[in-house]
Amino acid sequence: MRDDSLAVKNKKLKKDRTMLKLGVLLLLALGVVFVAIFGQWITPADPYAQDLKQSYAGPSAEHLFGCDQFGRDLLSRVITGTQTTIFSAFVLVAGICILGTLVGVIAGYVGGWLDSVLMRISDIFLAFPEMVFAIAVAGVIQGGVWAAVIAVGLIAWPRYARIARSQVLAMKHNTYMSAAKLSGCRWYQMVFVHVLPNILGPIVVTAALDIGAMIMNLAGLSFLGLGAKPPIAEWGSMMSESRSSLQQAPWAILAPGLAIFITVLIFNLLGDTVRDMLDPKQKRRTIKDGFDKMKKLVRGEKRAEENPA
Amino acid sequence: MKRLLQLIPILLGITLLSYALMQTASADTVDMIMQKRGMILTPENQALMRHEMGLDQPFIIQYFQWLGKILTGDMGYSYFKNTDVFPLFMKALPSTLLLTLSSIVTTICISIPLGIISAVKQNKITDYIIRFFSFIGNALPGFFVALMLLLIFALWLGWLPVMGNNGFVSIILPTLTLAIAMSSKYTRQVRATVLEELNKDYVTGCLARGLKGRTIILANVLKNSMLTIVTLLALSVGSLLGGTAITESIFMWPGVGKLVVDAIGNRDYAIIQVYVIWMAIIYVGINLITDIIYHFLDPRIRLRGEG
Repeated sequence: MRDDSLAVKNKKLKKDRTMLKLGVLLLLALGVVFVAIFGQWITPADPYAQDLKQSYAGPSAEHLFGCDQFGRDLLSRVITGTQTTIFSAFVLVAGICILGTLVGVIAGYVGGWLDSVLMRISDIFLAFPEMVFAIAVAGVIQGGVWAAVIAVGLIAWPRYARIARSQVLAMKHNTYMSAAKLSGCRWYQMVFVHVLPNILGPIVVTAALDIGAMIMNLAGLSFLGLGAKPPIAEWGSMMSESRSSLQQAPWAILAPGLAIFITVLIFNLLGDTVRDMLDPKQKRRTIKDGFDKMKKLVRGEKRAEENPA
Repeated sequence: MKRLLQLIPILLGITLLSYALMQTASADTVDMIMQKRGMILTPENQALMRHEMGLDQPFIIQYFQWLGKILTGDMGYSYFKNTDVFPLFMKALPSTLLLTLSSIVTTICISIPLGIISAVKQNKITDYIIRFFSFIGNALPGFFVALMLLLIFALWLGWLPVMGNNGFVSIILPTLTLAIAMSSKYTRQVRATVLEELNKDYVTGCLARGLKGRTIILANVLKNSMLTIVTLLALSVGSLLGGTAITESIFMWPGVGKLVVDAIGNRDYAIIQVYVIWMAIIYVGINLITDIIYHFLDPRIRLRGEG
């Protein structure tokens, strides 16, 4: 009895901790989004104002992060860069999420030849290494940030289509689906009321985990000169611009680099927490658990363990 | 065999997609060639040039003509460098493969031991430290790592050369760059795989027979986790092939990644095309090999999957 209540308490404690973690991370993520939206009003200096006397000036009270080769204030540029990075990554993830889910739901729900065709198409995209394809597409269209978004999006949607399709297939034959159909639901009611809400979990988890990766991919393209173009303040292209002055002014690389790192870290942690919350089958075991299980088996307590009420 | 047949539509798809991609840029190519040849850009001239290049025919016909050329070994011509692109690509490929291989070996050496230790010491301090670092590594963009490594080891300490390919020492930094990113991801995956394996009944069985924890892990758990580990490694080769483009261009490593980044700057589409197609083919090939290895490693698949 006492054991049971302790276990319940532990579980509750763990849940509370996850919620707390989620809260803190959401707050941090919102902070980043806040900087992205209001960045232009909170910069200490004009991010585009050049002052060649300050070229490669180190961090000081006036310029906290130092200056780049044109004497532009790096702190202001990093703050301004948040906007491009966050918005392009959000639009990208939302875009591939919607497109992929749509394709996946259609393929899974309609089935038949349409399913085969859509899945073969996604197979083709999945056959390319992601960044290789993105680099080539962005290299061909060469149109700034949005070209980079399209390039990455074009290669990233099939993963969502796969997940959505497998989810739809798994729930398609549930009784409530037949019930809904029998009670006269139209196809759009079926899809939006019965299918979508039930498959959303894994898709949201994937999307949450993807934001960080997408921020990095976009920054990588910008670094290669295939995304945001100078003089636009964007973290990847800022680093690319300051590359040649690595030894002279390492802060010009460090500032945007750390900005990417911290942002990606926040969104990765957030994604992980969301997954821990939404993914119920995550059960963690150790070799010690094996010992415990064995002991219980010996004592004939297996049944008690498997049905903890 | 069935797996090989499935490859045909995929390969066709890869070429079709790459071709379609380059077609969107064909107007550009025409203009560029004409400028290079010193021709005047009038609409008539452009139309003539398009006809000469066969660009006025329907898309599908053009595609098959082009495919025929590819199959006979004509991979296209770089109008920028005035040479066939395939030899260019083939000359650069070994460098990239060498870099990829050394990164994979480094990754394996780092992440498999760490992943296992992390799984065995789950929720102990060692596990937390390893997970902490893998989390950090996961959030670091490759080009940032590359520049930091350059700064520390090449510029400040002066231990290693800054760029280029002068033998063994030059490969260290690019390899580390790629291996850090890959190991962080991979350590977590190895950890998860080993944890899952530890969860199985045979582990309990071994414990019941009185085997030591360490013996079980080295002899049984690792062997059974190997399949998943190999698959995950093959999958991560994809991100590695992409990552080499950035790393190579930073370290001036003379591989295909640098070749293509330079080509993009020059709008040299033929090289981009060869790059995409061959990278995809290499990736598909690696996945195929993995499947075959899988087949031999796991009798369950061999017995069930035949037919």
